[in-house]
Amino acid sequence: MDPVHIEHTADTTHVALEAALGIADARILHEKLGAVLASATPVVLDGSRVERLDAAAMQVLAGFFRTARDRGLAVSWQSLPPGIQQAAHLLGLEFILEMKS
Amino acid sequence: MAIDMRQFHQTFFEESLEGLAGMETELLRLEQAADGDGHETLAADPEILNTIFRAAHSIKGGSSTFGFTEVAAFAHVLESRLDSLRDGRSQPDRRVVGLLLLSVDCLRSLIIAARTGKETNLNAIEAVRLQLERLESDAPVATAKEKKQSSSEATKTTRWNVRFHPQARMFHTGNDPLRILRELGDLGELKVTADTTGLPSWEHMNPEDCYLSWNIELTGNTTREAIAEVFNWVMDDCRLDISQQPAAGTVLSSRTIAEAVASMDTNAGTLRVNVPKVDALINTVGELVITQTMLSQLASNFSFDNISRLFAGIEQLERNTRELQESVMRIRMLPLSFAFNRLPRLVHDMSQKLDKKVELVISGEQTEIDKTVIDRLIDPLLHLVRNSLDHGIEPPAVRSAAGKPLTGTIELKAYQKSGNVIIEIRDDGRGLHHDRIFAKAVERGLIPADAKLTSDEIAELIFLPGFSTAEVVSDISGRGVGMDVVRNNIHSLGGNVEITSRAGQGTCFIVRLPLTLAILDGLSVQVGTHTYILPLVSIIESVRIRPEQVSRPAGGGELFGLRKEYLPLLRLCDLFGVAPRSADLTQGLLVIVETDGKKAGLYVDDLLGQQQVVIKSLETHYRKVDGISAATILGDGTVAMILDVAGLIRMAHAGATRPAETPSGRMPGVTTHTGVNAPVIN
Repeated sequence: MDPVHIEHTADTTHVALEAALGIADARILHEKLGAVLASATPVVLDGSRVERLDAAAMQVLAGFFRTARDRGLAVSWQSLPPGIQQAAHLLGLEFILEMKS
Repeated sequence: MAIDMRQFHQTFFEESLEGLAGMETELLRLEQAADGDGHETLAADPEILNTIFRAAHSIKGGSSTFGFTEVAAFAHVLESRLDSLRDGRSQPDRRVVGLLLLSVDCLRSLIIAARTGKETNLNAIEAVRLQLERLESDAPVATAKEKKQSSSEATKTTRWNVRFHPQARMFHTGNDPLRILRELGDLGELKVTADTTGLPSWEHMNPEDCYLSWNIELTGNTTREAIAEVFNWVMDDCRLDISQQPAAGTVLSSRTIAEAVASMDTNAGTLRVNVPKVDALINTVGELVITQTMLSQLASNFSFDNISRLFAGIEQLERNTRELQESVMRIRMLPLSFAFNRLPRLVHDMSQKLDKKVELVISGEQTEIDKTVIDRLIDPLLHLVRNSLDHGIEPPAVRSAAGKPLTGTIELKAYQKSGNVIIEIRDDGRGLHHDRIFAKAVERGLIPADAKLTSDEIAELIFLPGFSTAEVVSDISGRGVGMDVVRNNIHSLGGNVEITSRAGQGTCFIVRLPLTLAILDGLSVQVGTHTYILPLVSIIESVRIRPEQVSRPAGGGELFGLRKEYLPLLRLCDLFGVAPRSADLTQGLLVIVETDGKKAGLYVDDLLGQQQVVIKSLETHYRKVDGISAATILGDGTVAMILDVAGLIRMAHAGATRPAETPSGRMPGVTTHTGVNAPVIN
C-alpha cells in the first residue's frame, strides 16, 4: 500500500499520510512527495490516520518541508495527532516541520 | 629606612588585572579547543596551563608582599588547584574551567576592591573559594575516577549534553533514532535540537540513509553509564559524546560577582605607555631644544643677512612642534584590544545562559584609538554585542530549520579609514523585522502610518528614545537601556553609528569614531567678525547660493533646493546673534553638513581654511550652549567656538532660527564680548 494518498482539488493538493510510515516506506514516500513538490497549488498534509512512524519517515518529511519552503510552495497541516507531534518533538524537528513557529 | 610600599601598589593592581585578563583568554581557549571535538575532558595544553598558573602565582606573591590578605588567600587556593592540573594529578573539564573563570572574576573583584576601597560581594567570593577547595579534595579525575564521579553525580540533578551523530547506514541496520531518543527521555527531561545541515537537496537525498544528527540536553538524576547504555545497540553506527554541564549554582554566582565587578570603577585614570613611544617623545623634545638654541643664538646676534636662516629655523620649529604633537597624541593611543578583550567572556557566559551556540570572530584589535575613547566605548560596545546575541542570533533549533549552521557568528572588525576608526559588529542572525519596527513606530506616534521609508530608514528607527520591539523584556539586553543611549554615547565621542540589516541574514552595526578627542580636523568659517570651527568630518560640500534656490514655505524656516532635495537653511548669524557681513544670501556661502543621514545647509559669510584645532571643553570652563560642542584657541589668540553639527541639524529641522539664548554673564577669562560669539582672550 502507498504510504500517501494524493488528491488534487482546484485550490489545494491534499496529501493523506497512511497509518504506518517506516524505513520500508521511505523510498516510495520520497518519490510520491517529490511529485507533490511540483504542485502549483498549496499543499495540505493530513496526518489523521498516522499511528506509527520512525525517524526515516520524519527525515523525508523534514526534507519535503525544507524544499517546499525553498521553492515558495505553501505546506500546512490539516490534522496533527499527538503521535506525530511527540515524534517531531523528540527528534527536535518541530520547527522545520512547521509545527511550531 | 623603611620603604613606602604604597608607591608600588598601582603597578601591582595594573599588572594583576592584566594577568587576570590573560588568564581569562587562556581559559576560554582551553574550552574552545574542547568545543571543537565535543569531549568533556579538555586536552590540556601544558603551555596554556603554565600561563594561567604563572598569573595566579604572581598575584599571590604580590598580594602577600603588599598585605592584601584576602587576595592572597584566594590566589593561594586557586594556585593549588592549578598546580594539580599542571602536574597531571587532575584533568580539566568544563565544570573545572567554569569554576576557574569564576575564580578570575573573584580575584578581579577583590583587587578592584583593594584599589578603590569599595566593598565587594564577599559571600559570593567565599562560595567560590569553597567550591575550589572541594575540587581540591577530590581524588584525581581521569578515567580511573569516572566511576566514583558517576556515583556522586547520580545523587543530584545534573545537566548532560549528548551529541549523537549516526552514520548514514543507521536505518539499514534496523535501528531507529526515534526509539533511542524515547528511551533517553525515560532518564530525565530532554531538550533536543536536530542538526539538519547534513540533509542534502531533495534530488540528492537517499531516503534510506540517515543524514540527521542531534544535540541533546538531558536534565535528571542519571549517570554517564546509564546514558551510554541507551546507545549500546548503535555504538558501532554512530559517534557519541556525553559531557556534563556546569551546575546551575555556578552560573548564578558568576553573575553576582560579574555584577559586583561591573559596579566598580575600574578606571583609575592612569596610562601605561610602551617604551618606544616615550623614546620617540624624548627624541622630538631633544630636537626641539636644538632648534630653540639655534633660534636664541640667531636672535642674540641678529642681522638682516641672517633672515633666511631665521625662516629656516622657524620652519624647523614648526616641524618639531608637529612631531611633538603627534608623539604626545600617540602615547594616548591604545589598541582597541583593551575594549575587545572584554567580549569573549561576555559571549561565553551569555551564550550558555541563552542556550545558543555563538562564535565570536575578532579582527583588527590592534587598531589604535585615544584612551578616552576606549574607556567610554566599552559600554556601547558591550550593549551592541549583547543585542546581537540576544535578539540577532537564533536558538540552534530555529537556525537548523532555516538551513543555517547551528553555531551563529558575531564578527567584530576594526580598521582605520580616512582619519576615523571604524568598528563593525556583524551577526548572521535573523536580522531586523522591518514590518514590526514600522508598526511599533506608528503605534508610538513616532512616524505617520503612511510614511514612506526605505528599509535602512526603518532600521534607523530603533535608535529613537524608548523604542523596543522585544515582546518579552529579557534579562540580557532589556535592562531599560535602549539603543538611543548607545547612539548618544557614541555621539558624545564625536562619532556615529549606522545599522544595516537583511531579514534572515543578519544585522551589522557600523560605529565610526574619531581617532582622538583632543584634536579636531576643522574648517574655520567666518560669520560677521567671528570665526567658528566646523568639524571636517561632517561637511559634504560648500555652495554659492542663487536666489531661486531658496524658498520659505508658510510657517516654516528657509529651505534650500540642492539638486533634487530640499535642505533646511540655518543662518548662523541669526542663531548666534552676530551681525552678518551681508544679509544678502548670494554674498555668502552655504556649507552643507550631514550627520546620521540628516542634512542641513549652514549660511556663513566666508570659508577661512582648514586647520587642526585643540579641543577645549566649554562645559568645564563655562556651561553648555546649544549648537556649540566645544571651544578652541586660534593661532592669533582668539577663542573660536566649535559647532555641534548634530545639534545644529536638529535645530534646523525643527525650524529654529531664533537667536540662541544669550548668557547674561561674561565668559571667564575673556573680555569685551558676552554670549557665544568668538571672544578675545584677555
